[in-house]
Amino acid sequence: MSEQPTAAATASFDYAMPSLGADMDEGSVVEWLVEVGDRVERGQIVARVETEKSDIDIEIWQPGVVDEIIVPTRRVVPVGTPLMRLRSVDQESSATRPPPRRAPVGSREHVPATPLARRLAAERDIALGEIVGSGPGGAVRARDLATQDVAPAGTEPPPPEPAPTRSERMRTAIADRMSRSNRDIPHYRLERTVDLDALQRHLAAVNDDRPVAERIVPAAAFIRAVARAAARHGELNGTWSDGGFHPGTAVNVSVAISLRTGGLVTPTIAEADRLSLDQTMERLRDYTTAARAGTLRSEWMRADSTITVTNLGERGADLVHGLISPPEVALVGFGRVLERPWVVDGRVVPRPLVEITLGADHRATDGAVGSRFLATLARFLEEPDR
Amino acid sequence: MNHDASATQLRQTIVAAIAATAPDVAPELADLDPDLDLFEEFGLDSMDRLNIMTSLAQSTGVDIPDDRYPHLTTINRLITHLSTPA
Repeated sequence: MSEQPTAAATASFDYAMPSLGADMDEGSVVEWLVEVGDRVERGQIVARVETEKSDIDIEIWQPGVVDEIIVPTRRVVPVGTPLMRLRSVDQESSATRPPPRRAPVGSREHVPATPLARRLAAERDIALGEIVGSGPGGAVRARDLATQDVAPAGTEPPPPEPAPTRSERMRTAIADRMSRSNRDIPHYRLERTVDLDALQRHLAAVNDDRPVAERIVPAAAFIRAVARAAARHGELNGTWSDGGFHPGTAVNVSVAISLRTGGLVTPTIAEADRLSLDQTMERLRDYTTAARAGTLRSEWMRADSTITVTNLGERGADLVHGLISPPEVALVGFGRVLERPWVVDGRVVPRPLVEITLGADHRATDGAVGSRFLATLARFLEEPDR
Repeated sequence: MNHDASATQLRQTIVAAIAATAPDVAPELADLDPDLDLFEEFGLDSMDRLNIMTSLAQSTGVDIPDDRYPHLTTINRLITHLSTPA
């Protein structure tokens, strides 16, 4: 965790740059949401951190009073660097004041804004809340900042920084990670065609009497089936490091979500094998929405993911042979669902089929294990009522 | 309200739903061809689609059955569906 628990009531403790994913080595605070003297509560969002992949709201898990902000905004520091120092508060007073549920402090309410506008505003030190947004729902767009461009008299405009853009840095991070995967991991690859007729009927029945907001998309069923299959085949659920396999203590499924602006993010659904289909859908919806809006939360960007799912969606390719995300040992890919001829009871019938691929680390397992995993996964998808 | 005004308002509702779901494509929605396939054009996925349909069902009160999704791919088709009494 990012802060150390302390025993003494008046002790101070540091809040450090959290690791927001196994591939994160460093990050910078884009915006502090607390000031010296502020009282923070467990679960409160205290800052917004920029990583190579996206801006992420970070929470604190121990109540306290901010004594010192150690790292100013826009300074890139390694994971684990103390960002601020806090004074512990005694448990009695914290018990009498329930923490605000995930609400940002004071007047710094979440102002709707496009990711670009948010970045430009931070770079120019403009408070988003003071700008009238012209976007949908009053969202601040980049163009709304144009009128704010004129610097107050007497102040020098900041020197232009030739720093790489977010998407360039994300590209670099993906390049590093995938090069490492390709260099270090001896992949073996398996594929299996699965008939989704029963699953589609099952989902149609589930969705039929539900309002649109509560309907389930097939991707949620895919993720849940992978999680349950990974729980059965623990040899594929974990990490490879220091020359050996380390089984995951839980099934934490990373979900690859591509961004239309380029690149992708991989938030993690913790203990995904224990979630119902509705819960899985809820997570997937939250993550996708947040990924697109650039508001992923640190608790979702866990460093302890144990397996990754990539789903190319309806308009993509028929199947995907991806690269494992190190230090994991398996990647499960879903191609698009297509109506194709399929033999059922000796007759050729049209069926919605999906090509599922498994990329697995041959250091950790052999093809027989992967094959059994795919068989289990296929059964979960083909018999959704069980 | 005459037909044109109602269609204009629906178009605004639809554009707002898309923009809220996919803020990254919002700037391109202003002069959008109403017969363009939104999902092809912007690479919207099934989750985006569900969010857009959810938003539209909530703001218009019109139900959008699951099996209509594949047909409702353009602004004009959405307008037709949302303005046709059930």
